[in-house]
Amino acid sequence: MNLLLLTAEVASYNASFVSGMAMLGAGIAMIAGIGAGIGQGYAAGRAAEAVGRQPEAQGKIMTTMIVGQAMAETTGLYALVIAFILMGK
Amino acid sequence: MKITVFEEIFTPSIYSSILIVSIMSIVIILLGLRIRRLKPTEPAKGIILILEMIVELINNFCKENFGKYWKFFAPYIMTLALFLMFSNTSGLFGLRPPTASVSVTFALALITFLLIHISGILTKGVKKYAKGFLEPIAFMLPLNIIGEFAIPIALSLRLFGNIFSGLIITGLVYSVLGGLSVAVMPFLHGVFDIFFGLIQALVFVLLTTIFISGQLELEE
Repeated sequence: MNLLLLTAEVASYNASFVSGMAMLGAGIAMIAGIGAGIGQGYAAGRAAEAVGRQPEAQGKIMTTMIVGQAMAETTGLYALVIAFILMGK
Repeated sequence: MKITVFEEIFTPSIYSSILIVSIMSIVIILLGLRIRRLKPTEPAKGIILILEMIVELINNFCKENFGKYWKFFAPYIMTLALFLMFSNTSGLFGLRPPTASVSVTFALALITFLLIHISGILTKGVKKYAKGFLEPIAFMLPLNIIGEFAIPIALSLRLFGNIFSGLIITGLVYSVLGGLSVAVMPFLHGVFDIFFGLIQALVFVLLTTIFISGQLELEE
């Protein structure tokens, strides 16, 4: 009887340990956001420089910048999706 | 048994996407009937004028990017732009945005993927299209194939991730603040629904255009 209670306790402990570690993993996965942030900031800074040099080309620079930033964002979004998957565990 | 299956299929995202599509089709059919009654000699006014300007904008955008094939792609681009614009901002009307479900965005990305390759085969011919995978050297074939399949996955996950994260952040703030969330509501919806939603719609349409026009052979 005692042994059975103990196994049930261990099983519940294991389940909460797994979900806690999954949450921790989700947090660690989001470190990838640093890269996306640096990339987007760099693109925005360069676009600002380009507009300063050539104000008449602002529309084209804006479109190019937005597309480039969307590309840079992709790696961050992969991390986000992995974090969601881990949180669902 | 059948009813539970139906309820499982009928998730909030599917419900709101069906609602948006049906409202848009009713409005556009009504506008189409009005346009049919229009006399070509009279200048357009009111909502017809705005509609004309939107169509003109999309046509010019397609002429710039697709060259002589613009007429084939313009309807798809405009449908995509209208659907994404309304579905990304549908959080303002209390609906769950359809694009916050990975199945909706992946379906859209799959249409784009098929369109890229079908237009590549139709405009370049099978031989030249297949040769495109061997560039710059034959050794790159596996990498090129993986790169082609990464396009729809990246497109769908980009849209889904942006809209879904906005939904999650809005929900978190609401659950923390409770009744006080009325104070931050305009800011949250302004940023996540209007600003990010419209930018992501623009990015999806732009990337679709760029990928398709990369497959076409344009003389210039």
